[in-house]
Parts: sequence; C-alpha cells; structure tokens
Amino acid sequence: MSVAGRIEQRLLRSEAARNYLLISPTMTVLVFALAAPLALMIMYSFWRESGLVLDTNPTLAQYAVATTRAIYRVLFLRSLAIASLVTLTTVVLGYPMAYFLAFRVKRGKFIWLLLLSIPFWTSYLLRVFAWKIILGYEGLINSGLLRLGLVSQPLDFLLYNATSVVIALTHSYAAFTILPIYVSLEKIDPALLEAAADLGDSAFQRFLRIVLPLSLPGVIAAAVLTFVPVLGDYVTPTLVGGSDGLMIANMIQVQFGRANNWPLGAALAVSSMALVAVLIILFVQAAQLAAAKIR
Amino acid sequence: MSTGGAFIHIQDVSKRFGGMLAVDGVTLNIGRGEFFSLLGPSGSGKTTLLRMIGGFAVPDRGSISIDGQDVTDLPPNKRPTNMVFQSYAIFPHLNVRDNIAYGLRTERLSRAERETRVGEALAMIKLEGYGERRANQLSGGERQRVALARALVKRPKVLLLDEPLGALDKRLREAMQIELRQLQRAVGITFIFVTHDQEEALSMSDRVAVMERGRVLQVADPKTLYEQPNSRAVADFIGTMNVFEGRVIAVGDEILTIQTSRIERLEVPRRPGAELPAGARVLVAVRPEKLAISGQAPHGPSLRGRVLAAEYFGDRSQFRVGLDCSDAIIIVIVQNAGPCNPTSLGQGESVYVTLPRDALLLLPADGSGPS
Amino acid sequence: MRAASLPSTGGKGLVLYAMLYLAFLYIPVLLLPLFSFNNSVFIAFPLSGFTVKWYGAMAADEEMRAALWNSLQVAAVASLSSTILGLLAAKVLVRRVPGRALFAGLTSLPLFIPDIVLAIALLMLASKLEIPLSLATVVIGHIVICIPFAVAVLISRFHGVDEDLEEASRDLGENAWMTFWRVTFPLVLPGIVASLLLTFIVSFDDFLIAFFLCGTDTTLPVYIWGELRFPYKLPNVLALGSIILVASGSLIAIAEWLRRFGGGRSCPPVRVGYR
Repeated sequence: MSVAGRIEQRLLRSEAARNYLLISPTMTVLVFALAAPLALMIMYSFWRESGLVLDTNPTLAQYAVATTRAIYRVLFLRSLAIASLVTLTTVVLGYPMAYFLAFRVKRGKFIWLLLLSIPFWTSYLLRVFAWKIILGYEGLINSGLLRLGLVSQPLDFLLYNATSVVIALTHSYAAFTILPIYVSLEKIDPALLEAAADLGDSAFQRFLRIVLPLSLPGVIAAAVLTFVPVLGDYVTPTLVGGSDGLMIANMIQVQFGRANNWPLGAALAVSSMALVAVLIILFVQAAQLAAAKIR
Repeated sequence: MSTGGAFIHIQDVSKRFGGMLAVDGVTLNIGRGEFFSLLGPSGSGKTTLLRMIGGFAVPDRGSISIDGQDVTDLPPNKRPTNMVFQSYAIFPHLNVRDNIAYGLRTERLSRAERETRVGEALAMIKLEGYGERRANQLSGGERQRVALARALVKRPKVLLLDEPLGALDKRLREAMQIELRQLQRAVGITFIFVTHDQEEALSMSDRVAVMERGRVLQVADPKTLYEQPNSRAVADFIGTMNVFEGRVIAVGDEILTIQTSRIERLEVPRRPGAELPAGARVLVAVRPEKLAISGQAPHGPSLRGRVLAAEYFGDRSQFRVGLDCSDAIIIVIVQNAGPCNPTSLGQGESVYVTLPRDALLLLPADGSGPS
Repeated sequence: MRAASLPSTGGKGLVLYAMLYLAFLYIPVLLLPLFSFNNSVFIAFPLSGFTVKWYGAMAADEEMRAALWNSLQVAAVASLSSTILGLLAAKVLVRRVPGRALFAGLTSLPLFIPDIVLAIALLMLASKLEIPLSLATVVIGHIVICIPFAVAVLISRFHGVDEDLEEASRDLGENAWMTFWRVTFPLVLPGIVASLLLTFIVSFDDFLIAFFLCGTDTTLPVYIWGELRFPYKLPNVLALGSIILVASGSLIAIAEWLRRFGGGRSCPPVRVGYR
C-alpha cells in the first residue's frame, strides 16, 4: 500500500474525523439558523432606522434609549420581578412534588410523570386563555362569587395586571420546573441516607444535610430553565396582562410591528439577554456559596 | 517484510493515548494453533494490544501480520480475526440463533450451509434449544458462550478473547477455563487470550506474555515463567515470591555465594549465561512452597525464626516467619497433608525454615532502593 | 430498586400536597373541554346544557381547516428534520470527542434563549437575505427549537446501547453502513419515534415563532390567536383546544412510553474492569 493510500486509510478510520463528519449537518444548520441570526441581531442593535433606510454606522443610540427611557426601565424591572417571583414560586411549590415523586412513589413513577407532562405539552395559548376565563370580569371566579352572593359586584382586580400574569405563568411552568429537580433527587444513592441515619441524623436532618445539597444542581437548573423563558414570554402578558402587566417581550414585539424600529427591538432583546446572563451567573454563584455552607 | 516465519508477527508496535504510552514497542511472535495469553495488571497495555490485532485501534508505529498478510491498516471486518468482547456485546434485539448467524451474512453461504453451521455452533456450546431466546433471558455464562459461538462460526484464523471470564463466579470460571482449552484444541484455531488472572493464564496457555506498562517483560510457557522468571516484576506478578537483595562475595565453579543484607550467606547454584562477578548486586528469590518448616531443628542447615502469622487455607497453610538472624520476613507455604505437620505450628512459635539450595533463583537487581 | 427502609420527611401531608398540585395543574386545563360542550356562548357558570354544536361549527370553518393543514405540514417536516439532525448529533455527543462541550452547548442553546429573541433574530436574517416569509421560514425556526428536544431524547436512548455492539458487528464482517442498519438503528428506533412525536408537538404548539415568520399562510396557533379577539367564537376555539388537548396528550403518552420501555434494550451490558 502506498504512503498516500495508507494515510488516507488512517484518516478515514480516524474516529475523530468520522465523528466530526456525522455532526456537521446539525452544526451547519445551527450555525446558519441560530448563531448567524443572533449575530445579525447583535449587529442590528448597533444600527439605526432613519426614515425608510437602515443606517449601518455603528452607534450606541439604541442602547441609550433602551436603558434610559423610563418606559423600558419600568418594563425591564417589572419583567425581572415577575420572572423572579414566578421562578421562586414554581421552584418552591415544585420541590415537594419532586420529592414526593422521587422518594414516596414506588411503582407509579411513569404514570405520575406522564400526568405531570401532559398539560405542559398541550396548546400553551389555550392554557393561558383558560386563566382569562377564570379571572375575567365575567369569568368563572366572579360568576361563582356572584352566584354564591359573596360579592355584589364582580371583582375587577383579578385580571389585566401583573398579578394575573404571575398566576398564569406559575401555572404554565409548574410542571416543567419539577422535572430537573426530580432528576437530581432520583440520583441520590439511598446508601448515603442510610449512612447518615447510621451516624445519628433524624429524617429532617437527613433532608437538610444530604438531600437538599445534593439536589441543588437540579434546583439551579430548574430555576434557570424557568427564569429565561418566563422573562421573555409574550403570550401571557398580552392575553392577561392588560397595561399594567406588560413585559419586555411586548415592547420588543412593538418594534417589529407598529413602531417598526428593528434596531431598537434588537437592542432591547440583547439588553435583556445580557441582563439575564449576568443575573443567572450571579444566582448560580450565590446558590453554590450558600450550599457550601451546609455541613 | 520479514515475519520470521511466525503465524502472527507483531513488530515493534506502539500506541499512545493522549499523553500516555499504552503499548511501547512490542514485538511478539505467535505460532499457528497456539493458545497464547497476554497477562498483566490493569494499564499494562494488554487489551490495547489485543484491540490492535483485531483492528479496533491503529498502531502509531510498527506492523502486524497474520499468516503472511500485513493487516496493520485493515479494518476489523477485513481481518481473519474475530473477537469475544469483555462485555460479550450480544445484540439485544436478536435472539441467540440470529446472534450467532449475524456474521454469516458477509460469508456468502447458502441458507442450508448457514443453518448447518449455526446448528453446529449451538451444539458446540451446548445450548441446543436456546435458539429462540433473547439476550436478557440468558445468564452471564450462557451469554459468554453465545459470544464465543458467534465468533467461531465464522471460522477465523485467530480468535481474540478480551477477559471473557471476568464476570463469572469462581466455579463457573474454572469450568469454562477447561472448556475453552478443550475447545481450542478441538478446533485448532490460534487463541489470543487477555487476562489479569495469572492462575488462569498459567492453566490454559501454551505460552504467556507477561506485560507491564506497555512492555512485554517475558514470553515463555507457564512452567518456565513460574520456575524461571526473568525479573522481579515477573516473579512478583506470578505467584508469591520471597526476594532478598544481596551481593556476590565468592564465585565458585558451581556455586555463587551471596551475602544478603537480611540472611547471612546463601549458596546459590550458578547457572550458565549469567555473568556475575564478585561484588555484583543480585536478587535471590525462592518460592514459598519450596521451603520446609518445622518446630524442631532439622538435619542440615536451616534458619531459625518465629511465626508472625499463620493462615489456614484448607489444603495448605501459609506462614509469615520473622527470622532471628535479621529483621527479614520469609513466607512459607506447605501442604497440610504433607510431612511437615504444619497445623501444629501457631503464632509466636519458634520454627526452623529450610531453604533448599536448588530452589534458589537469581534475578537481576533492579536498581531500586533498599527493600 | 430503592430500599426506602428509612422514613423520609413528609408523611401523609405530602400525598395530599401532591393531589392538590395535580388538581391545580389540571383544573384550568379541564375547563376547556368542559365549556366546549356547554350550550352557551358565554363562558361562565352555571352550565347551560350539553351540546356538540361547537365542534361542528369548528369543523366547518374553512380558515381553521387551512391553518390546521399548514400546521400539520410544518410540524411533519420540522419533526422529521430535527429528529434526523438530532440523531446524528446524539450519536456523536455520547462519545468522548474533542470539542464535545462546544457541540453540546450549541445544540442546547435554543433552550436558553427566549422564543421572542429567536423569532426576531430569524426575522432579521430573512429580511436581510431577502427571503420571503412563508411556512418554510417557520419550518426553519421550528427546527432550531426542536433540535434540543430531539437530542435529549436520543442521547438518553443511546446511553442504553452498549458501545461494544457496533464494534462486535464490525468484527463480524459488516461495514459501517450495514452496522448502522442492522444494529444501531433497530436499537435506537423507539427513541427515534419518541423524538418524532415530541418534536411534532413542539412544532405544532409553537405560536411565537410562527407569528413572526409565517407571512400570509397561518399555522393553527396563529389562527387561534386571531380568533381570541372575537368573544362569540370562543366556544369554537375551546372545542378545537379540547381536541388538541386529547391528541397531544396521547402522543406524549406514546412518546414517553417508547422512550422508556421501547423493546430491545432491557439487557444490561456486562461492565467489568476497565477499558
């Protein structure tokens, strides 16, 4: 066999080369349909809309608007508040459920997981809409209260504000948040708990000193995976938020609709992503620091 | 390329993984129809070497030839070898019959021939009637046999076995060792067997290559390996060995007198070929089962000591004896049914240990620190 | 599997909590079918009698049927494409390859970017490249958001497949292609089907990306969004929603069942020593 032939044989048989070849279609699609658009969006955020023409001289004007205009500051803060509240609520409410599933359910785990998954996978629009039905002026709660004679007039503070947004989002993500926590709880070796018991811990102490720290990666994952989409949610604030419950996604959408200011929309999007990234990093660090304190 | 006439010729093969040299310049010749074992601890490179023979890894340097054909760059499906994997790798979605027949698709046989061969294979591994079962319905030993049959049904020139008995319990393992040996003799194929269990290698093989850290330390038949290890490393790996450091103080026609730091003077038979002048550092080694032990002083020279620990293994007893003459510890193994009557010797008792001169071996001093 | 000889915290309270949790999850969702059979245009208590007329009205709605057909096409293409791409990626990601972290990061990136950001980014790219908005652009957007799900399902399936099996197949004479068909594909098949079902639902249910990228042909969620402005059409929408609920629920159940129990891999590999 010639030298060239031998080299070619060895290259083709090189496992690394084969692997790169296999993964290249997927990577190509992701580069062109994910990385490139995001890069373009970042570039857009440094441009400006002047009349009907796109002025591509780099400028920080959009960022100045995004960070200084009062309406955007308010929306950023409100979105952060709502997302944090929703994340906190779903994690806190979801943890006991995940615990129940991991430690107390022996044989029906699959059924339980299925039951938890199904609502999450079915028409997000309509699930949010269901809350409109429940909380509305002529909705379920009000008509029920009226019928029962508990109020003489329908309550009008149930819907079209930040509270209804929080409620609806919590409901939407309640099942999703459980999953990462459940996965990390499942992984805990029962022998660890037995060892802790052997060394003197009560059930509650075992939970605090062993289960909680070991489930922390799952909790952090759940928090991050919930916080990000909630912050950028569009449907819920639009359907049930009214004007008091608008979030940053609404303002972004407006730039691509009526206002037609794409660079501003891009700047808003990039700013919110940057904000989210910073917050997540800080959060993960803080959580890990707190966890390290547990002895 | 000269193969030296050997059936399998491995010439100066090396393989590096990341920063680690897994196989370091190995040259081996394996004969046709031989049951050849690669023996060594974890990390010795034996599995890597086997995989290179099978085509699952490409040597960085060197060449491999089988029956005159250079196979170094051939992929596994083009080599005249077949492998029994450590995990057995039985296809879970196929039943036993289809597993065994799997490789016959590329052999271009008629359907009748295929059926015949599969039937023969099932009979050979004594699993007739198991044809329709799936992998998860088989025990570990049964899966191992199916893996064997699946490889042998292709009638390869060489069968490679990667620690195939490791997952079996002791009794089953010993039974399989005998079966494998008989099988190999019956089919006459060259077997290359990888194991870390030295008893297994010694009992089954025609020849064994002892490997450590990517290199071959010694290649020999089991008896030679045991009786005449060429180095401390081999001696320590195969069975137990008492080793003492020493220095030649007198060279006679037949006898070398060694002064060891632990035991006074030992006289060792001089073997041809070893040039050991006076003053040379050597290691004196002796197998524990070649020593005699007794409670009373025997006729002839012996060393007195005290039993530090006595272990009873049913058929034999093992003693750790602290010698009076120094702080050396010597290990002695004797058959309980033998003449020494060892069961009467307990911890703390005073005993006499006899070192028969002919049982003493010389090993090259390895230059390491004081023992 | 779990000895659970130790008492864990919680007791009976935990079971009650779990029940309440499920109730909280399902009650809002179950309102949809409830009112889809209600003989009244107003969504309020008390109920006004049973009817199936809303289902009939919905089925007769031409626009709805067109949107449904669009959604089905888009979801079919997106799920097939993302499953194939996910299969190729998963096969590589389960092995130790240099750069794996980078690939894993890129394939899971869509999960960490809010849909709206992705939607506007794709809109910008389409505009810059002067690609007209259509169902095709929606498909591309859906492929991007579906890939992480496909990869996750398939990786979990690949982990159950012994690495040695492919080597054994090659040792026994097959080349890489035949090895894929005879060994890898049958064993991964349940995962492939599960991925197809899951990504189908993700694509079918997506609103935001379709909203930004669909041009004149709408998908079903976009159509529903339009209808939500008309109160008198609400029961129709609820009828539609109930059917979607039942259909996706069934698909998810099948997908999960396949992912976990799909036959052919219940034989644990014998792992001894090291490799």
